[in-house]
Amino acid sequence: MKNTNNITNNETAQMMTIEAFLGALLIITAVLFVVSQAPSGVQQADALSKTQLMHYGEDTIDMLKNSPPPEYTDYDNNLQYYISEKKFDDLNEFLNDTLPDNVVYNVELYDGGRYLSIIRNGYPSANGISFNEIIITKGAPAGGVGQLTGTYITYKSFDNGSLIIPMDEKQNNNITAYNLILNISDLGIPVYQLLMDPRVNSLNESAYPITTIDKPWSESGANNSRDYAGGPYVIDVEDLTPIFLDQIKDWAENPINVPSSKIDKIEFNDSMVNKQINITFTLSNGSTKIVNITTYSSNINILNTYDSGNDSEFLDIDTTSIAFDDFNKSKIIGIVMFNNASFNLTISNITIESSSRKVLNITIDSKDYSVSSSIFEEDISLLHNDTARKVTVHKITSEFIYPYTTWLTGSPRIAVYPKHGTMRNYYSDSGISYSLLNNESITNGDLRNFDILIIPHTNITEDNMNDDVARNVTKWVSEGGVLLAECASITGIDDRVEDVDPDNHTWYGFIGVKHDYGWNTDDKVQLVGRSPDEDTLGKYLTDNYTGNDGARLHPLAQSFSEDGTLPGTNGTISAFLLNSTIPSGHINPDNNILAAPQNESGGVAYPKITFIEAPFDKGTVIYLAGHDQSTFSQQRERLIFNSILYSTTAKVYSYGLLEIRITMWYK
Amino acid sequence: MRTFYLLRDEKANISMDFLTAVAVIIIAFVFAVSVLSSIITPYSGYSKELYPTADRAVTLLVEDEGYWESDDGEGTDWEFKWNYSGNYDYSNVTKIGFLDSKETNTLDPGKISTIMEDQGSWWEYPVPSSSNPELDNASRAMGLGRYNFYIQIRPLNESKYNVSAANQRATEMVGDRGDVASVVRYSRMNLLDLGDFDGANLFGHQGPFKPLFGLDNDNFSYILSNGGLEFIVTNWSIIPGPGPSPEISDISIGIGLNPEHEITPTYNLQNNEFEIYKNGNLTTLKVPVLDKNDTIKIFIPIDSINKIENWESADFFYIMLDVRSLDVSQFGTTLFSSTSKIERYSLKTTVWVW
Repeated sequence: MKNTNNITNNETAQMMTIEAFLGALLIITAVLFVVSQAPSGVQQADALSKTQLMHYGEDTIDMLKNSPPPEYTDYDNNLQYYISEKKFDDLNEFLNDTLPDNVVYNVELYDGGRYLSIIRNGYPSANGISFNEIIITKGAPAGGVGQLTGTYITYKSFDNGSLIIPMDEKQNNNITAYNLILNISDLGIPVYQLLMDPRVNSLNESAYPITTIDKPWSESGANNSRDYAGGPYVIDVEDLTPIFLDQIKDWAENPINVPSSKIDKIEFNDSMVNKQINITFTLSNGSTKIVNITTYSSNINILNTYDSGNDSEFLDIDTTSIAFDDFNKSKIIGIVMFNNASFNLTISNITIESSSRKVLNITIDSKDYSVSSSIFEEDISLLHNDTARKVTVHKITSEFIYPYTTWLTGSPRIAVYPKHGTMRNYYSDSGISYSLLNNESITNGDLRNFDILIIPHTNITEDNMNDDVARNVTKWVSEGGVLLAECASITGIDDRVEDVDPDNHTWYGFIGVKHDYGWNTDDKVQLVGRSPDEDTLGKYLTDNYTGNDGARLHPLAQSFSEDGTLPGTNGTISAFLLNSTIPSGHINPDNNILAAPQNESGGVAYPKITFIEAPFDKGTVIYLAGHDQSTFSQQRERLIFNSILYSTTAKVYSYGLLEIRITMWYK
Repeated sequence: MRTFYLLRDEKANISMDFLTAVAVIIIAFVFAVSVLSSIITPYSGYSKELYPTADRAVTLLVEDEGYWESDDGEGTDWEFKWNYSGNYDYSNVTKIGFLDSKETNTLDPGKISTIMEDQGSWWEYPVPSSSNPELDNASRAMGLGRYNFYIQIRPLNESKYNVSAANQRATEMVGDRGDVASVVRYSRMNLLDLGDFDGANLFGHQGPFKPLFGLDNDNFSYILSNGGLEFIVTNWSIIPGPGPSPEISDISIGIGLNPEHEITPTYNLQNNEFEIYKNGNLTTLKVPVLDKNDTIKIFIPIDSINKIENWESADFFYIMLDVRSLDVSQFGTTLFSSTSKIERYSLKTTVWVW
């Protein structure tokens, strides 16, 4: 066997010049690598130490927490002071003075929704470290402790690709837009609102220019800087996925399917007290539905209905919210016509008959018609997929920052008590559904499942709202619920709360309103309140008698109209007063008057009030005068939906929890 | 047995494959060591012991109150046991820390001044005058036994001190030494500023009049941080004659009072155990106070205060003046805290170790 280990003279695997060169190169590379791994100097290594960076961060937060706030401020330490008072420049100065020049930092606040950048000096490098601290602070939106103090309003930037839902003349339907907003909120996506002062002309002072494209789904629309007013809603592109985008497009383009129409008002030539009225609705195919109603001194009841069949059975005449609308009781409002068929219905004429009385005018879907006989002959279409209900959505194409932004923390859960009333009208317009509660369900604790309780026109008394119910409602509001009372409910609910909650609050009822409402007005309504712009703009901005900020930047008052005026509506209580007969201390001291009727000369008819809100412990009480806000104007009807959305709008409390995150890194 | 034979034409060459393999192994080994070392320790730099040592030392200083123990007991008020009784006895102090026992994240100026040299609102240690026994014990009690070190404490507000002087000293002490680790910590400090006393509102013993001044235990660090106790009285209330001429005739100190608000037992200070200034001029007892606007400043150094045994453990430290024809408006004690203010600093503590 051959010994293969022997090296014979013809073997040539020896290191030649090229191999030697490669070998040397490898060794040099290895040496260079080792050298590169060695520290270039201890000082530099120390300065860049992550441990040192951690000391900087932890010590800085400790100093902020342990340093006293400025004298005469009601805070425990400087950190609480800076955050509560939004003294972000002072905080920046403190950090800048404290940290060495080679350390850069960003500061963010987590307020229960997301991190909001308050100091930004760039993008952290890979060796950045974040330091988080939970602080109890005033004006915090999360984990509220103590009294509700208002809406959480903050800076917010929106990147290219965010969606904006206009709430001014650019919006195809301002009411169905709320349906879209609630649907988006149901997805768990935060819906932001750009709060504005609704009292200034939308076309100049209050509108905010944003660069957008007006056909966001096709990308073919015009890309322009547009002025948005009326408190538009925005969906941040960071929260949008392709699936969500498709869903939002589907909702916006395929409108709510609640085919309906409203008879806003029927005006007769004289008082209709103690009359019978027969209304016949004739469909285009000749079938009819007859509704007989009878009127009393203060209320109107339906007697019976007759249905001829052949499509008329699909016509649902809803008289839930029917009522007199004026002092003379010559006007009847609140008849809603729903199409329950799976196809379109057309009403070709309506015949209104009542002995010894003539119909003068009829208003249908905010349009006035003079009527010369008892027969109103105009086609009223109850359409499925009505394009008039599509929602306009634009897409933002250039990043912008808005300083007065709030957002919805969830989709509101809506309860109505004790009867549908005008909510049927609002449902007809918006498609937003709700749950009807009665005394039994409230006593059983059902309110816990809702964010807002709406009480449409009802004469609330001890007879129809017993003490148990009143106590439940009071406690629910105190713990954070939002109550909206309309029209005649306003004084009744105040009385019932006072009956069951006489000692827990120094004021009367929820707010303390007066009983003797001896007038009924359909005058226009003026949004009021203080404003920092009063010296330069005029236009009702000097109305500071309310002693608070009122409509300015208030989510409840967001609307789009000339100078902040809204159409008036009549009702049992179309305006009310704070109770001047009780000591001033017996009026909720934090009340916020949002709107008052205009007087004959166009000024404000204060002390008459149309719209007011006040915190009640952690909750909110809203009183809105007028029987049916949906009459005449979507912008007036918005006050209802603003109230609904307000129930889940981010709010601040006297104290709350906030997390501050400081990220530091070396230059 | 198998034997390898070199043939005649074979040279002492190594294989290229062998060389390549060795090079690769070396590279892999060096890389592994480099990566592993950076994973195991959070500190970079070749002086791997220095940084954690400096970090531990500065953390001890700003996060710990310090500690002493002896046959007599134990406690965190080590500042009263350092150079105990002036006998250069530092052995009872086992740990040096500057943290104020009463407040979080706040350093005690008394503890700082016990060991560090006040250079005018900034402090350093060691200084050229630091004795070897003290330095050795300080190294031990700071956990820096076998290292050289230098410590500076400065206000964060650079207008409060001489920045260039502090930088100069740091350069002199640390300079361009090769292996130096430094760690910085931020803290706070509350510095007591004693205000002037109004002579028309003095408390003390009445009949005869003896103004009585009391410093409470919470503010004893003032004595350490200022090397004694200094106070000023103006606006004297002179009792109109006839009678003896108004004057301060004696100064006594102590830590206990009798029901008449007189110090007991009392220690009468001799002229060389205090300093008394009248209208800015150093003088000696007895000091006439003929004008109500006469400004009297008294400084009692800590060496004199130490004449009172265990004063640091007392609730109050008292000073009483024997006066003639100077009024004491109320029976009681004139508290230093009634006129004092607190100045709050943010501080930067830096420890260099090499």
